[in-house]
Amino acid sequence: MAPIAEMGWKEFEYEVPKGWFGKEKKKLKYVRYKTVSRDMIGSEILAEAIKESLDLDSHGRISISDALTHTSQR
Amino acid sequence: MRDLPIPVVKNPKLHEPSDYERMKGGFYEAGKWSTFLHLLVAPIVAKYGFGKIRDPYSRENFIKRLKEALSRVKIKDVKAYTHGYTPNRIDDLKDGFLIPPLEEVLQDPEKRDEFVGWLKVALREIGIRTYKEEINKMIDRVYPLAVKIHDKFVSRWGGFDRWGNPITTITKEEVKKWEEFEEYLKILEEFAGLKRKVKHPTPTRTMTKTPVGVAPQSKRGPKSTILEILSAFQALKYLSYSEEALKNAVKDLEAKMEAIEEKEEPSPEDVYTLGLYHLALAYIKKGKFEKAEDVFKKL
Repeated sequence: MAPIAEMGWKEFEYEVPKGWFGKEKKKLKYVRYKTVSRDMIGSEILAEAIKESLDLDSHGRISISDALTHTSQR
Repeated sequence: MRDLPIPVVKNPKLHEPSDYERMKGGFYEAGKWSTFLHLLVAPIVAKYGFGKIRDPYSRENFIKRLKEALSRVKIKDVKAYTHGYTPNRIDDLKDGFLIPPLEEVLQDPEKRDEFVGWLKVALREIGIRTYKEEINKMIDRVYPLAVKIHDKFVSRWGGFDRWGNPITTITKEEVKKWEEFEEYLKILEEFAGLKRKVKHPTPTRTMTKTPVGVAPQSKRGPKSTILEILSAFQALKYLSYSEEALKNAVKDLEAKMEAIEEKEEPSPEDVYTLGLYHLALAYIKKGKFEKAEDVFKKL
């Protein structure tokens, strides 16, 4: 779900039926995006450093890790 | 099931002539949103005992609601497609919405209030019953830290992943020395009541006897792990074993197994739990969902 990066815009050309036999060309603008990865923003590294610094049981370790990386889930 | 619209963060560097600057600008803004959300959500979730954030089904609903929270501050709806690929048909284009950079939302009282209100709703999906004032206070505390931490990770981009995206070269040992990291740990201590790890001198190992063939029990015994696995299989069934849900379940199990494997001294109970997770993972990978439910119900 990570907030995703806007990388540019393009137009998609497509045709729609017009009348009985005709076709009409149309254009639709769309944004081209890229996903932000954990390796890029260091979220997993930060989560690891936090887990190693706090006294947590396995439930706490997994949960805090999930909270600190939740945007990487679709 | 149609995917929910995706949140695309407005890139202020979109008009830069250099490809690299444009890419950096896009990743910087979107990454800042992500780091901010992580640092904001973690202390709140921790304060309430972590709620159900580990449960894949609840987490999925939380993410859906979080998208809803972001859509409430959108600039406009857009059509979207992955950079570097070309759509073949008009139906290939995905629904999305453009959201402003983080500061625009936090500095605009109306947008901030709307976002905070919907974040509160999203947190309910993982069993966290917080309130707007608490979220607002936490935003004020974590926002400056999130920006500084994000800047530090980004300032050390070096090399690329297999998709050509930049990756940070910061290590966790370096992170532990940051002033901002120390500040954040203080928030987790003061607000969420978490405790620092106390460094003990190396203890003398003593042998404890566990009867052979008997599953060890403790506060969070194997029974609770079995129930957790069964509820995960039920959630998968509910989601019609979708590819996305299966992928999340595998990721979740692997993370849990890794957490146990990383322990310095795993207890016999940990080893038993690891076995349960391993078995669940094997069933998921082989698609033996009914067998999995039968087996875990009998355990």
